[in-house]
Amino acid sequence: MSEPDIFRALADPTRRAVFERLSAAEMTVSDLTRGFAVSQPAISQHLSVLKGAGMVAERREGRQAWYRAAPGALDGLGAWVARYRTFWPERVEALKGVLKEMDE
Amino acid sequence: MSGRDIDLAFELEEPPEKVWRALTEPALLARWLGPNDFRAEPGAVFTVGGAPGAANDNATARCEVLTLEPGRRLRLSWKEGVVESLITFTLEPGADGGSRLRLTHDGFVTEGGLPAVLTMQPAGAGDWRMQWAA
Repeated sequence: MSEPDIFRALADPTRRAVFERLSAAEMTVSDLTRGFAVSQPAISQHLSVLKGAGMVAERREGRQAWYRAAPGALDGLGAWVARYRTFWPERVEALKGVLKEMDE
Repeated sequence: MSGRDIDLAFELEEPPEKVWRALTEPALLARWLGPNDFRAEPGAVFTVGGAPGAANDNATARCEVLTLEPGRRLRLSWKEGVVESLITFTLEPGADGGSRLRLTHDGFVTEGGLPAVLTMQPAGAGDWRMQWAA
């Protein structure tokens, strides 16, 4: 899964809430729909986006599908922040060079 | 702060007033951070190039000056792609006439203004609602 996918998947408040519920427990679409003021097709659509981003895993049991948050689903967010963790010390090194060259 | 926040400290040989100029004069800022149209006034909206982006390493961050305490503290909002965050530069006098620069990058939120899962607390049993940390 890529980082932009994760951020886009989480940019919608309902989708964030769906993801959060699935982080706490495995659920069916019906279970999920009960907690929201949105239709079952809308929930299914959110699940589809979350699955597309690799953030939700699906398990089939007979005709029933169970969903839960995929392990490591949020690793990409850490990677995004990690890039800035490298970026800032590099920039401050450049800042030190600029300070040396500045007039008093 | 959550474990994912960035909190760095640097010892610089120059005094805070001089470092402040490098942080807030657009031409100097451009030489170490990136091309920008920064203005040193609260509420100023500006962009900075050369930022790490979701797609490449030459993204443009859209920023706003939130706090400006000359010689001491500069706080910016920093939006790149769908992620918003906060950057704070704090200056204090350091050893031998130098300064200590603290740089924090935190408050990561996704577009729409709600804090990202970076700061999400696990939901308790029976209460699935998200605990959005401030």
